[in-house]
Amino acid sequence: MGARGVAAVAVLLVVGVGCPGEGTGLDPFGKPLTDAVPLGPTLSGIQANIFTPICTQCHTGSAAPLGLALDAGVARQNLLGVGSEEISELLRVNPGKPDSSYIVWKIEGRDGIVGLRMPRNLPPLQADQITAIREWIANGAEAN
Amino acid sequence: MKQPWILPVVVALFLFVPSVSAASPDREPYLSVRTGLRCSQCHTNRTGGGGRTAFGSVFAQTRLPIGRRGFRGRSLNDWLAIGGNLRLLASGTPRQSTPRTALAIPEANVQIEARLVPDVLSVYVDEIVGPNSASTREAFAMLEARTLDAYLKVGKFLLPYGLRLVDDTEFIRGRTGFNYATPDQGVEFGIEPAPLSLFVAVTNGTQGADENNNGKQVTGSAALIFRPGRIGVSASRNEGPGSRRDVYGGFAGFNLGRFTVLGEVDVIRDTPETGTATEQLAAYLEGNFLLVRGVNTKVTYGFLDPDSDIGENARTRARFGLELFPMPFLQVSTFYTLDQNIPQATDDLDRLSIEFHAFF
Repeated sequence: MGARGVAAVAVLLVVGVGCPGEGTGLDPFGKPLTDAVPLGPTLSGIQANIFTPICTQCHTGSAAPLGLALDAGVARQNLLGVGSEEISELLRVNPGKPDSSYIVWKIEGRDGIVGLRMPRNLPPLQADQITAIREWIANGAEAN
Repeated sequence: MKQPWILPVVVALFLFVPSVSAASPDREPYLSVRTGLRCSQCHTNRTGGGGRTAFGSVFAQTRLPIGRRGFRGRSLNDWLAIGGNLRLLASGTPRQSTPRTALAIPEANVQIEARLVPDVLSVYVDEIVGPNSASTREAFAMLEARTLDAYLKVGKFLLPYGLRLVDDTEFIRGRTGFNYATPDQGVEFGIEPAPLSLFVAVTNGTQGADENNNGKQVTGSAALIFRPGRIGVSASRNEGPGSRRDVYGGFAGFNLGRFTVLGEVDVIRDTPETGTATEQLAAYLEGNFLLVRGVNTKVTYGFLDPDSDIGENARTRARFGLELFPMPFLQVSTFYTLDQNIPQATDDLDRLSIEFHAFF
């Protein structure tokens, strides 16, 4: 098979491999509409609109970076009162104190963070998303 | 979403690679495929990426660039060598309703290699010195033996899985969890009796964090490397608190004249102790054409099914552009990335980018 044949095979593979989904019956994050929960300063709202659709693209399961899985059911226990791996003086979530919670530093991209602003390789969180996380922490980071 | 095309793609990847090769993933895997060299030929880390060997340094200065400008060695003396990477990325999002441009330093690294006992014992550190606070990407001691070209690595290192693409945003890098942001602590053993390269690592499975459970992550990669190409398989199992992740897949590449193709397909399965398992599928295909020495054109295609139980949620990502090596120690690349998600997705990740990469 010559170079042209190889190129033809490559093109056929790319064209035939697959296209993006039509998104029928899904929310903007690709989850079924039946699972939709409005964004607000609650764990369930943050989980459904931020942690699950955005953060768990990487921070999921047993292979989550720095051991920080943000899957539903385990996100709070991995955040609340847990020391940051990157800045040991800070907790990932310090209940009642969003400005001394490292997760806020990371999503706001503050000076002094280690590594890149989160979410890595994605657009920064929108203002209402950051506000929801700040208010949830300020309110005590309850399991609500 | 079940993908009926996956089997043909896997078969095609392997069948159209006459004799594939090897090995290990590499920071620019297409260069490894194009030259038929193992990753360890050019990189201190035997599985690729990071600091370069003496051969890699010579290669980068004499075979990659359009023009030569003398030669500069990386060794400070007969046992200590340094290296570094600095990337400056300018990008814009022309298709967004509010176009956004940005300048960023995605990588500023310094590497130090101490060859304490020649060809037997070395210590290697790859330190991220920017753009924010410093952190260690890799730090390990490595014992090497001539028998089977074997080695034992102990410390913190990138795990041996798949093609070690420089672009961590590709689905096969981001979704599998094997990328430059997720080194782990443990031990790694490898042998490279040509044409085989075989690596196995046992690590904490916490991606750099302190161990938080008794489970461990086992990651392995095996490949055959020949002059015209390579073929390999990778697999990983990580027993973590509350869940288990299994990742497995195959990768391959071949070269014909100025044309180089490589690809990878991975299945990612997360199995929680309670609840249902989720399965993702990630695929990648890359074509390169060397116009003249120092000028490479590249087209890539990525596919992701983020949950096999949900239909019509697939994403694709295509990139095309040009890579230049105008002089030693400098790479300039420009790409357009076409990221296609479901229609109602709010993120538009299409972007035009220019990257300056200085390295030594």
